[in-house]
Amino acid sequence: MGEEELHQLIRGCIEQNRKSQKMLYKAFYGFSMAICLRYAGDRDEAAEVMNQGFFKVFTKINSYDADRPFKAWLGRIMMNVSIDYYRANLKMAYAEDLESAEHIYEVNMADNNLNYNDLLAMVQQLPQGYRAVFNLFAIDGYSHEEIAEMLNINIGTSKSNLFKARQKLKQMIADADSSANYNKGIDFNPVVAMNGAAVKPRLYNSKGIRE
Amino acid sequence: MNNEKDIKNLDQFFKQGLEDPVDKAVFRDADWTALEQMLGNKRTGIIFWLPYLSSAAAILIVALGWWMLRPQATSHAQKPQQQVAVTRAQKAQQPAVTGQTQVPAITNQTQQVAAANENGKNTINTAAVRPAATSKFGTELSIQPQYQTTGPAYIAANTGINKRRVKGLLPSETVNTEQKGSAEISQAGIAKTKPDSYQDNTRDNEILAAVSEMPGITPNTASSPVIASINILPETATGSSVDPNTKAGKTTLKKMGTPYRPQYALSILASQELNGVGSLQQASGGIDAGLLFSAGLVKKFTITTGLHYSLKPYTLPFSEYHTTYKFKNAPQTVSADCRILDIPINIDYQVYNKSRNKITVGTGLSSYIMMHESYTYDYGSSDVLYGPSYYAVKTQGKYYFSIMNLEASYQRQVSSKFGVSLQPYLKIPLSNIGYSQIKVETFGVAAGLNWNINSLTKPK
Repeated sequence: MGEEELHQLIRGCIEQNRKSQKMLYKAFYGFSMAICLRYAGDRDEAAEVMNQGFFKVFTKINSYDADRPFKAWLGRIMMNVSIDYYRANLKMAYAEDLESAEHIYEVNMADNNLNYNDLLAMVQQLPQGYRAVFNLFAIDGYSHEEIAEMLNINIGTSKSNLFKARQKLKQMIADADSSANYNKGIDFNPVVAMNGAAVKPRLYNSKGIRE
Repeated sequence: MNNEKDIKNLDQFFKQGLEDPVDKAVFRDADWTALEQMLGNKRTGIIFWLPYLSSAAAILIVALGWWMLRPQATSHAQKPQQQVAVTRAQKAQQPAVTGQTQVPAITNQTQQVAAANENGKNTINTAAVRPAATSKFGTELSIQPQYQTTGPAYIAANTGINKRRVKGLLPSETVNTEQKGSAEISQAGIAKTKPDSYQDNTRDNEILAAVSEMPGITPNTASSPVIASINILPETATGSSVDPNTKAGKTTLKKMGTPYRPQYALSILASQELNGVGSLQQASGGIDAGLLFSAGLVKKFTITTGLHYSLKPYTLPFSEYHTTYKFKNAPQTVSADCRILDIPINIDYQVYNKSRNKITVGTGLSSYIMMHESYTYDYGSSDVLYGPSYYAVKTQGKYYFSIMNLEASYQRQVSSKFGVSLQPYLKIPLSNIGYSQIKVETFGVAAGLNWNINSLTKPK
């Protein structure tokens, strides 16, 4: 989408033009959904959060500074609504058993063949608290101090969550690797079928002696 | 060391894989529909239309009130009385009609009207109707007209034989009956009449007097209870023999009128309101609770005062925010949190009051006392904040009679003591309010419980 076209859409959104709103929504649907999907547990949850974000966009479009990149502004809003959603569901955030994250996994990143959907599925499988910290730190580039402030947690908790998130992801990657190897047939036990017609019948008497 | 590298690789791996997806999520129409509903609800919901609806309701209420007050203010009051009087008269006569085959004496006295003025004294134009228990037949209706030569006499009731007469008020017809039981009964219904010799022979009977639309109708009663109100000629126009009766009628009238009794009431109100700067399009929700005292000034006007405590959060663009502080980086929006003591003085006019329902419209002025005033500055999409984010005003602002109140109220009396009310209102500042010197409009709907203090005292 060209700059001029984008500004035209934004002007339409300022005038609360529903058609412009829909066009803008469609244009940035994938981008916004990608952010929300990282923070959410599944697609429906992500769609709900994303709609909250777009609602903010359309109701506060007047506060958008046209000199700044729209995508950055939108991305920031999507991230903020995702964090708001996380805060709203904070009770569920630390349900994961900490013991299960203690193991260290060695994985080779270069060798695996994981695509976007695989990685997204892994991140989404993380407990919400781990997922939020991992996203903010590893992907969005925030420091532990900033994350602690944003999520209203201790810095230590942020670090701990990140560590555990990484361990879980490594475990998932390792599991994915082993599964992939299985599919490639490396650890393969062949099963041989026998043709029964080719086997000659042998008869035994009541004493068990072959006749 | 190796571990650290591994971690960085992991982070980088996910960052690259997730940051810019190749196969982005495909657009789903259902998601847009959901968002459209959210947007639609906010814009076209009841809250959005409330100010307009309430304005329309207020106009409707005023129009309805005017329409109800405009017509037949007098005829409304009189017609039912006429009907009651006639009905009662009829009922009194019915036994006579059914019990007797003869018709009571009824005389068409159109031509005798002029002659009916006895001794030039009695000039009362009357249509008093009496069931004459003392007549010859004991059941005869006695109608006591005293005629005025200048106008037609009207009959308010009849014996029940003539339906037209039962309905009453037949111009140019008078009905007279013989007094003291000497009425002549005529099959043709025409009797010899003696209006000049009329005397009150029904003093001990109940009088059912109907009010005529014509002036000067006088009941010829002395001690009988009067059921309906009566119009009375000035004393100068009446004969001396009529005077005592007239006075009695006057006394009765005074008793029957409802004297105005001031009403006092206490009300507790709680309301949900919208606060906005300039308009209510992007308003923030607030709440309000109040205790009010109201007193009736005159019959339809009530003065109300009391105390409200309001929480008024609102958001305004920084361009509308006034301050002496120089911001290095201008915030985009400012969110205010105000807690206000509101002291209103309103005058309400009662436009409708029927049965247990009452509708009033009112206006007045409010004074604000700021109990708390703070502002939060939102810098929008800036990654880093370069200015203050919060400021609480320490001084307590007082703004006397600075806000105009417009309100309409529907009240339903639940019992003699208590009532419930629903009150949409609008508060429009007449001057700039608060540290930021802005005009915050408020629209709210209050639900209240009213306690009629008068119920503690007995009416005099």
